[in-house]
Amino acid sequence: MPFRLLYFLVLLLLSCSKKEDFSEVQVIGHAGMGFEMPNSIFHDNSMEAIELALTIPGSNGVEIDVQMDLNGRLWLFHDELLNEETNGINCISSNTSEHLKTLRYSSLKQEKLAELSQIPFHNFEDKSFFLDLKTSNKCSESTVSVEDFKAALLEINLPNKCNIILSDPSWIPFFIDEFNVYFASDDFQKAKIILTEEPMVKGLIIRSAAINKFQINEIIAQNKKIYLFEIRSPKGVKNALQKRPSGIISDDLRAAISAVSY
Amino acid sequence: MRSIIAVFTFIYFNSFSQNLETKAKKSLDLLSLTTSYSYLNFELFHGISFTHHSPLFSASFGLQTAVKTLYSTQKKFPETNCSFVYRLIDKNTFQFGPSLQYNMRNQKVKVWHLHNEFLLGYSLFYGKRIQFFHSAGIGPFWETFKSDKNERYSIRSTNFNLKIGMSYAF
Repeated sequence: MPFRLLYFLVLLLLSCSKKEDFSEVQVIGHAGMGFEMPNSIFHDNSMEAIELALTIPGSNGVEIDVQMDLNGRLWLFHDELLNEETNGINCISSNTSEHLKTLRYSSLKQEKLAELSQIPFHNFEDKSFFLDLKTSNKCSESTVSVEDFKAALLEINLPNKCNIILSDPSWIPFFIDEFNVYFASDDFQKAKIILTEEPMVKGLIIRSAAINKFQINEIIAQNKKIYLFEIRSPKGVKNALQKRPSGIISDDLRAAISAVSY
Repeated sequence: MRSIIAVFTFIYFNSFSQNLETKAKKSLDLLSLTTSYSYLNFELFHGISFTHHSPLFSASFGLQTAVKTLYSTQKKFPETNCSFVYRLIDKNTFQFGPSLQYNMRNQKVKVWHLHNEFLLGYSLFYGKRIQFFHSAGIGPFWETFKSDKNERYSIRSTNFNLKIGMSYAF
């Protein structure tokens, strides 16, 4: 009798899934295969993680973090300081290109720090790239020069109308003509104001927990795109997909692809 | 307090005497139903395994169906595994020792991904007919799949795994 009950419960559990079609939602890998994911094979923002995220069928692209070094070259790195995740010290902006080339992540595979120019964009023409520009310099407690950052970006052979993510509204006018600019904020009301003031801004990047389905519909009704991030668990993927955004920037790319393509 | 010590002492010596008896036994083959959970990959496995127990070693071969993330995407995929355990500690109901595992799985994430991994680590078992087990290991891992451009893509990496589970032997 207990075995029959157990068998019935297992069947009940497995039959309770309702399949929904999320194929219109883009799946973007956060910093490659996911940001700070313990079960990710490669370190976030490493070339290996980015290449895998772009190659894996079902992925629509990657979001990567871009910082500028002392020589004006662009590197893929998330944190403000190098100390915790690499064998380097201080900020990207306080190190030279030559020194950064020697640095490795403190991960099991010890991947090298990657430069933006190393990404073979031409091999992935059908994929979307979202470059999250890190504008602050913690080491000098100042802001990076916007002109220098833009010049460094334009030097690289980026895909046509590459997507740029900016959290500093004062940077938007500098990039709006050459790039698809997205505004990043956790404050929905503030984001709405920016989207109204800057009609050329393509859309919004926002934490999944900071927005609901009705607010997403409000943004989409304005002919803007909206991408959700900080989606770490499979449950988080499901919750984010049910809000029907333009795309999700997932920390578990495989779970997101599985959920979208059944 | 004395009675507790006495009871535990009795259990210890009782199991020790049974252990000698077990070691004196010849090889044993068991067919079991297993259920296990992988902590790191959020995977729940159900399957059947065949285990050959010799006095010092256990070798098993299993066929499993895994459910990735049970409560959300519910993707099922097959896994075949072989393991070899040297029973360093072999009490009546408790076994522990270093283990070598090989797992091969075919997982669908839009396309089929073939995973192969070797894990060197440890395994521990508790119980008789109904047995609880735990294993942990680290080792090389390969993943192969066909990209959107229909090119074969392969990744080699180092993987680690932690698993808990239970089995019922026929």
